[in-house]
Amino acid sequence: MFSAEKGFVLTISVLMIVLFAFLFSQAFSQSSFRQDAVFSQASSLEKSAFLADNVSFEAAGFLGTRVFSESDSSNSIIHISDSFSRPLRSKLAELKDFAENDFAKANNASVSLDVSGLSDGTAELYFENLAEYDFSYEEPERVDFYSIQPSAEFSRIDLNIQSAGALSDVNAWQWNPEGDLELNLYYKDSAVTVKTSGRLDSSVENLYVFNYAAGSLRVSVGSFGGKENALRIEKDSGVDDLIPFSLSAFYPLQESLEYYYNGEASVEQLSSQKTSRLVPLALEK
Amino acid sequence: MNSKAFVISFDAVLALLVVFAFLVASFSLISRVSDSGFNESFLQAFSFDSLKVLEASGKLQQAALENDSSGIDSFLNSLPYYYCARIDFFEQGSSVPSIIASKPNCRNVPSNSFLARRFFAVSINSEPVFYTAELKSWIAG
Repeated sequence: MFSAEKGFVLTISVLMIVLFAFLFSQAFSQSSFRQDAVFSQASSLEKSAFLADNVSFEAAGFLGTRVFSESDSSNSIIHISDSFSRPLRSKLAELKDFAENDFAKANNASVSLDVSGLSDGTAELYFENLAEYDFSYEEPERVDFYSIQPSAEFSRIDLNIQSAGALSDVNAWQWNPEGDLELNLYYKDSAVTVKTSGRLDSSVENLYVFNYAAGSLRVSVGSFGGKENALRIEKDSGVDDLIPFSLSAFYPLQESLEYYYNGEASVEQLSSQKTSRLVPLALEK
Repeated sequence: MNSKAFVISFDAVLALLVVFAFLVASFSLISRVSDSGFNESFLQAFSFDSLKVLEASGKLQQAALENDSSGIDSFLNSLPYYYCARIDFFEQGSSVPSIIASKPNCRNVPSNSFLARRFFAVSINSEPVFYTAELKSWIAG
């Protein structure tokens, strides 16, 4: 039926095909195992990042400040939205305890949440190389926003304050048309709306006081308490309403800004470690 | 003539055995390859993203505060048919879920499901109460 030469060729062909199939299977199998190892390693890294993000997100939620920054052709703008009287702000120690014990144990991970710089009564939020935002949540509650470089100072502030209380009267600052700082102030409560704009001299303290029956809310802009190019909002303990406010600071420069709290979260899971700065919640514009 | 036939038959059987051995080895190698790495990677990414989105949108907190899983149910029901997930809520210190949400066609959790946990806090009377949301996900068979 077949000649010897044909049989030889057929045998060699079959052997080569089978050998090729075997080698292909071996290569495919090895490649698959290599991929599994990569997946496994990536999985551990991803899990560490997920856990660190979870801890960071909760810490930011306790602090409550929301931030957004943007740049246009002439300005870098920092937008901050916040509120007085947030009860969870002073409970960071409880968050740390839960994250480092219950949560870490449930995930077979080692969690470290450093909030020592935030749970001491003042939460610091840094805008790299530009400004600092300090929230003192012990009485009287106070917010300080100030530039940290004399060469980069804000030239305009938009301030929006809302209160559920009823304003009795105000002590307004004096506008200075020659001033170097532009300010737009909008205040609204259950009965009164104040909308005022003008220029202020930033080398002195300019004070605007909103008086209520039980105390006052004070807004200072300019230079005071050893800080220049600063804004302070301070609330008396008697004024116990939740007072949301937002501010926008305009810097005449173009820089992409990084911002983060004075704290960090670190997660170690299997052989992967992820350390991340605590960042504030994003402000939706 | 007879001895010649025997040699040829033996030779053929030997050749067939070699071919068969190679084929068995090839199938054995191929059968060890599984797509579990892909599946697990996909399920992990999906689980982590889902929990994050549910928390960022306030659905986890709302479910815990109102003891009502309807917001979570609607999220799970919007998943593709073959994608199964179940979320159990555990209040701090409790091993019994306070809320369970799952897709209607995904009641039985297989042993090879992927598990992800995310914790969150809700404020009750100005005090933080911690919950852990445990999401199990798998591909329906």
